[in-house]
Amino acid sequence: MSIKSRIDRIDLRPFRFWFQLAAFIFLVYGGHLAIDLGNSLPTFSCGYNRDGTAGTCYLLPLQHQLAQPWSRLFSPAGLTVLTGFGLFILWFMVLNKAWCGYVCPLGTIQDWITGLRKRLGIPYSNYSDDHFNKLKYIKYFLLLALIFIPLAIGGQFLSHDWGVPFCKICPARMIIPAFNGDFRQWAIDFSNDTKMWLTALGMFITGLFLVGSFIKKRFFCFFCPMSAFHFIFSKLSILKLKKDGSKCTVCGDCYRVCDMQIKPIADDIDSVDILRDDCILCLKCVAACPEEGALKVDILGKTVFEATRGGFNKRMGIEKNDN
Amino acid sequence: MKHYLTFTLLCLFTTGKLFASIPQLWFSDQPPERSMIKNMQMRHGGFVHVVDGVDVKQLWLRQGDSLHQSDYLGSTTKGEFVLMDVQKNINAPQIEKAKQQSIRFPMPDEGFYNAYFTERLVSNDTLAVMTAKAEILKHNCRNGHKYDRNLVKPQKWSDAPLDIVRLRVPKEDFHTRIRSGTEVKFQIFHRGNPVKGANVKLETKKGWVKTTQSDDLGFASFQIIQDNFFDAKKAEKQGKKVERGHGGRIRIRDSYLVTAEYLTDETGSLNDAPFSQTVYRVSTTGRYYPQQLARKSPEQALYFASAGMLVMGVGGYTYRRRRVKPFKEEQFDEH
Repeated sequence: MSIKSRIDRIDLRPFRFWFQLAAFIFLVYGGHLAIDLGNSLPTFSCGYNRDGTAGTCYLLPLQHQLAQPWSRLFSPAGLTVLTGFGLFILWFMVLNKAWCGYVCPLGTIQDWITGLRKRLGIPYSNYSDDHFNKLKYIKYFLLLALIFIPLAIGGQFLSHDWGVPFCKICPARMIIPAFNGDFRQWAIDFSNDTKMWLTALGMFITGLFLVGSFIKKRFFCFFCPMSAFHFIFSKLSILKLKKDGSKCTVCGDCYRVCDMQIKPIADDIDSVDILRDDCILCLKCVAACPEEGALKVDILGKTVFEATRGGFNKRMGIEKNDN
Repeated sequence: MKHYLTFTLLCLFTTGKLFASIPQLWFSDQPPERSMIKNMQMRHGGFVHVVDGVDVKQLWLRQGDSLHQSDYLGSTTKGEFVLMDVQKNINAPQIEKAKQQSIRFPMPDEGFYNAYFTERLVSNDTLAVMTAKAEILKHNCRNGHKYDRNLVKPQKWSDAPLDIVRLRVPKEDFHTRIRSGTEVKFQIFHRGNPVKGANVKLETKKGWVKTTQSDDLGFASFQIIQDNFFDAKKAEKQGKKVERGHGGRIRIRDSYLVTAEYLTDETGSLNDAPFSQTVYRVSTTGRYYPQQLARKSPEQALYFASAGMLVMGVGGYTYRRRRVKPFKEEQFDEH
């Protein structure tokens, strides 16, 4: 059996579990081993994790840099913003939105909470189609806010108390450092009114996150501005999720296994590039597809993983020794 | 002339009383004219000039009874300037030709730079060696935070007549701030060796004064007072001046001046003036900030997190219940 056939027959669930665990340990504790991937990572490797972090989520330096006085931001000194952005794009191009599905520590924590719910035998929740279509825009609103609020600070329309506004409300700021025993972020900052409301909102959202992730798979990813940011540049990535509509029977298996409730993955038989803004590229859809070549993952145009009848049968336990 | 007056006063008192009567000498990075700040940029280590992309620090000499009451020294002040860079290389900084005495030096590398100014005077049979010291941090967050932790360690100048070194607080990094309640520890060295029994005085800008003596290993420590409860909003309403930094951010901080003094029976002569004893003095400044915990509440944070969990729990349950479609039996009349 060729290597490609072996990959197509891979049991994705344990592979993803161990990959996510390794990525989590690497990003959350790697800093203790002096590992530093810089501060342009396209994933929630929280900068508030201080010594533990092996690289910092790009949203933190982005907000920090955009809050520079306009006279500096729109001068040659502002090139540092472009440098950071360029590095972000380079990192992003490698994995596309798989940064969310395979690397993001906050995403991994949500998957672990989902695992706990499954063990307890509690069924998960889903949004109605109507709510899904309305709520999905929240992440774009957050993305705009995290860009324009720092710009307004730099233009002196807002005070620096608004600095890094998204990080103030992001649950990763509280949860990821906690894995290093650091609970300093679990506090309301009463230095001024702005910080007080932002940190209070951050704690409230942390509460929503903990329960939300328990009842809804990947609850926070649906609202994540990094996911929206990824989608804007997803065309630049070398890793693509593709669909051959002519081979699709619209059985709906891919939709049923999708943590993000993306309906077009099943319904859309016209698009070749099937990646949607909520997708985390976990590739569960490819693994669950029984149709030969209907869904596939390409790197630089070369298919590295695709739906096959044999792979489907093996994963479903229908044919244990299918050759 | 001012220094001779200083020294005359010095000789009038015993060393135990010296702190109360003699003006102290220190470095400041606050320019004498406020307008100069407009051409400078704020960094973690204070204001700097940026020349060809390199941070250049300028320090002025100040003298006075306290941080609150002091003057800039004129350019005629005689003394020796020394700069110790991050790699512990000893250099002579550029002396600025201006009305007030100041030095300039580039800071290309991340870490701490130490600047010293020493003046020597003999009067009434006593040599006074007075040193001003400044420890300046160069750090720019753009350079990242995975730097060599050895750069945070304090450095001493082995040839300093008297050196005062602030020891680091646990887990100190380039972002660490000394806060009220923190125990700040200093070590006093005389020509590189720890000094026992030096008189050490710490004085805040608001006038809180504490004195102690260095122990066998030259250590002297102070717990920084909580004297900066400051309601900026209230102060602004009352028309009082509120210090605002970069981007209009209200700055709540204060400064301290710490001075160590050591008397020896060293004899000799300076410029043909003999002396039968020597007094060494070194001063340095630092900043401290309000205690963070005083402005943060983990307890109320948990209330908000609990509220979030409750809202999500109840909301999620209600949402699920509302979406459950009741079983409805359909009957068809096939007749």
